[in-house]
Amino acid sequence: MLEQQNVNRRQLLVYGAAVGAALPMVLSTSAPAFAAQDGSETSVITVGQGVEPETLDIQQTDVGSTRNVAGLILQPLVSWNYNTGELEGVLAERWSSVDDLTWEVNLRPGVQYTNGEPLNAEGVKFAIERFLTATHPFASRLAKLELTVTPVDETTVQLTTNAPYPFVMLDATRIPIVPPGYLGEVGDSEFALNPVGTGPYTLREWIAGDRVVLEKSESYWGEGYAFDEVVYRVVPEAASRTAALQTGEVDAISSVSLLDFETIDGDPNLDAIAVVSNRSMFIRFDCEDPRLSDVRVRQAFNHAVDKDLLVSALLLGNGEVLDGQPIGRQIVGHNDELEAYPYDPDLARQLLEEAGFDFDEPLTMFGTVGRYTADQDITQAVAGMLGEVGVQIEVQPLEWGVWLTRYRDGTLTPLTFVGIHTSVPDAFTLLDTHSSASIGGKFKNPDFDAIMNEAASTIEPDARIELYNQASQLLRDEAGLLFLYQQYDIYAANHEVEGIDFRPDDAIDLVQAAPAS
Amino acid sequence: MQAFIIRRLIQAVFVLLGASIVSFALLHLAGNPVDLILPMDATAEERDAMMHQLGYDRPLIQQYADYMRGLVRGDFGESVRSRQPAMQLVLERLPATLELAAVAMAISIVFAFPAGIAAAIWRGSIVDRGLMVLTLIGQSVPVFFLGLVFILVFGVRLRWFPVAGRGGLEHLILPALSLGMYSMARTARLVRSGMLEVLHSDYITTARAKGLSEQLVVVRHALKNALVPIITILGLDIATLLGGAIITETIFSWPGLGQLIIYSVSTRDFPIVQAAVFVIACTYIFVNFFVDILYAIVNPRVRLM
Repeated sequence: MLEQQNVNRRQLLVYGAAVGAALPMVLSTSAPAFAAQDGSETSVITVGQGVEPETLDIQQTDVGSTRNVAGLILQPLVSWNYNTGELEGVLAERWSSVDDLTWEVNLRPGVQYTNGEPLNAEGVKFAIERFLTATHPFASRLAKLELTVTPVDETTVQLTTNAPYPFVMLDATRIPIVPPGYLGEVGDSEFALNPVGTGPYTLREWIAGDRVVLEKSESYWGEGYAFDEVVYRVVPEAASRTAALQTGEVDAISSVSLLDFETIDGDPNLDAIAVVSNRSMFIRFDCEDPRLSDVRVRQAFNHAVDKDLLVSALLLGNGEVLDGQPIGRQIVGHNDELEAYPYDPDLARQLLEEAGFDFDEPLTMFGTVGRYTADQDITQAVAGMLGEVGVQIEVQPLEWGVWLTRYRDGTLTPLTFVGIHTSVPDAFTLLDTHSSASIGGKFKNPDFDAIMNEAASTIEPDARIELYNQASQLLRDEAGLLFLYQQYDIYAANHEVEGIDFRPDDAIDLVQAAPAS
Repeated sequence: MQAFIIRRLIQAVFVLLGASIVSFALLHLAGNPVDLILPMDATAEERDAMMHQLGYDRPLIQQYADYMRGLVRGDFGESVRSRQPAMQLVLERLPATLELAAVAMAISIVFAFPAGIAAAIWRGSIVDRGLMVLTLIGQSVPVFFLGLVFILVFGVRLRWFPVAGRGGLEHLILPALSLGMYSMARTARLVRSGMLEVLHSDYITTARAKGLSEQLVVVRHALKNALVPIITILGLDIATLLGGAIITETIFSWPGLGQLIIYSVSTRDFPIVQAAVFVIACTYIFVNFFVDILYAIVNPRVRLM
């Protein structure tokens, strides 16, 4: 009996070892899809993003990861070039302001959708009118302005609003031009799954939850876009995205975790790319709260927080301290005259005492969980720094959906950590969020409101920028916010590809992307 | 048997009703999808307009009644975000989850039974102790940690397996192994304790005394009787695996139900979550039903009533 057991045990161990050794060999040889991408003649770029597109109809959404995919199929009239700081034509060849209410746009001649439909003025009218009833975040404000599109001839349209609105062409960067014939044929639901546009790529397949595969359009009217295929993979977990980049399963990734920054930076085959984002981070004061209504208290809070330390220690240098305004340097309307409140805890204490601040009563500061880079660490650190000058802060982190609902209900008071992002590179959104009419506006300053009202209808760019400068100066002087920083968006790519432009508005631009030479 | 099936079907209706009420109430208490769709600077007017457009401004009872009316017709509504039929989106993801769960369960059973039997036969030996330490680790290590370790070791360092997505067999191994690890460890321990109990019973001694081979004694006589409690646990494990291995699917970018659920909960895409809960509840009901029948087959003393 004993002998039999010994033999069995030995056999078991030998068998187990053999299976263990053979399994990886068998599997590794059966993995051509994983390893053989380089050998094929088709040039492919694979990009890993955290979120899958919900739809490919980008008239219905402005989510960056969705725009990156569908933006290769559907194109707008114009787009913003962050390198030159100017609008450039895409489907529009020229555009000009006729008067305060009207823009005239000349379309690029000879452009066709990939199904063969010609691009013309009637088609643009159809596309923009469809956009006005869509769920895109810009749709309702343009609908409220009664934006109308009038075809002048085959390749010219006029865009008219019922009131002066300076951002018609900037908003047009977010309006994809969809083909009327194809949409009429297939309907909205099918279009969301299988769109057709004028862009450089067409949809080959969309495997739900896994990938979207796009292939180069033979009939594309423009230049650039060297890759034959673009594959967008869904990789929700940040650590897995980094791993997929390391193994070569993807060539580029977005939303790199700070924890992985050094790993990527230390890998000779990979580059981490930090891009200053259009998102400004700050603590919003409820200026009507009696404990914060004295400007000296708000100034003291600004002096009490060491913003440089937050950026260097918690963001590992991946951010830029805001210079006393919620507007990044790449944004039109940035005020070059302003400076950040210097870190000076002694001055902070002195200001608080002068203002008769009640040190015994704790203040609640709301924060988010995982919405912004290192958000929980940042709110805890800010609370700690305020604690150093005697201000007691109770931090309440909230799940993003709950945070948003309470933000809109106006119950995140007296302090909340928040990031405001602008999809278009103009300071208006970043400033107007602090006006009293805005849903989260807690600055409650009538002078500020008046300036922003005027800016909202000032067409002439220099005059509008002057108004922005006045507004940001007032916001800084009155310490309407606890100014923190602009965070960097971190991307990474391997050395197999070059020329990808990672933009401040979450966009991954592949126009110059090509296999590495 | 017929009475058993009818009673189970009636119970199933109540279970599904309960699941729908609980998921509906919890989701609606947690907020609404409109706040997550609109930009942060949207006005109260725009919010109200979208709430009305999507029907979230109606009383909760009315929303539930409309939901139930649709459900009776097999209509789970449309995804708030993608505007595609919710059940279609859920069913699209089901094959990936089934595949992962099946392989995880297969790995679990294939390793757990021999390990449990070996540990029982050689109780107290180095094999037993080694296996029990391994099963303890398997039960204790959280799946997210195990998944990341697998990715780093077998994906990034050794390059044996891809780390993300669904494809051939090579894509399945790491997620299935990390998903099946807990079940594998628990089953191995159960098999061991079940076998130990049975191996010391009188009829086993009788079987041995009759001169039957050890193999026959262990497999035919002991294992079959040790199976009864294990089947129940395995049944529950299968249902849990099918219910969406949320963490595993997220870590390994596996395009299954779990990944869809987590995203839909975070975006408050109620119709998708409700459709997914319905599918998961059905899975539990079906698996429990199947386990009961299997129970009767394995142990004739059990009568289905």
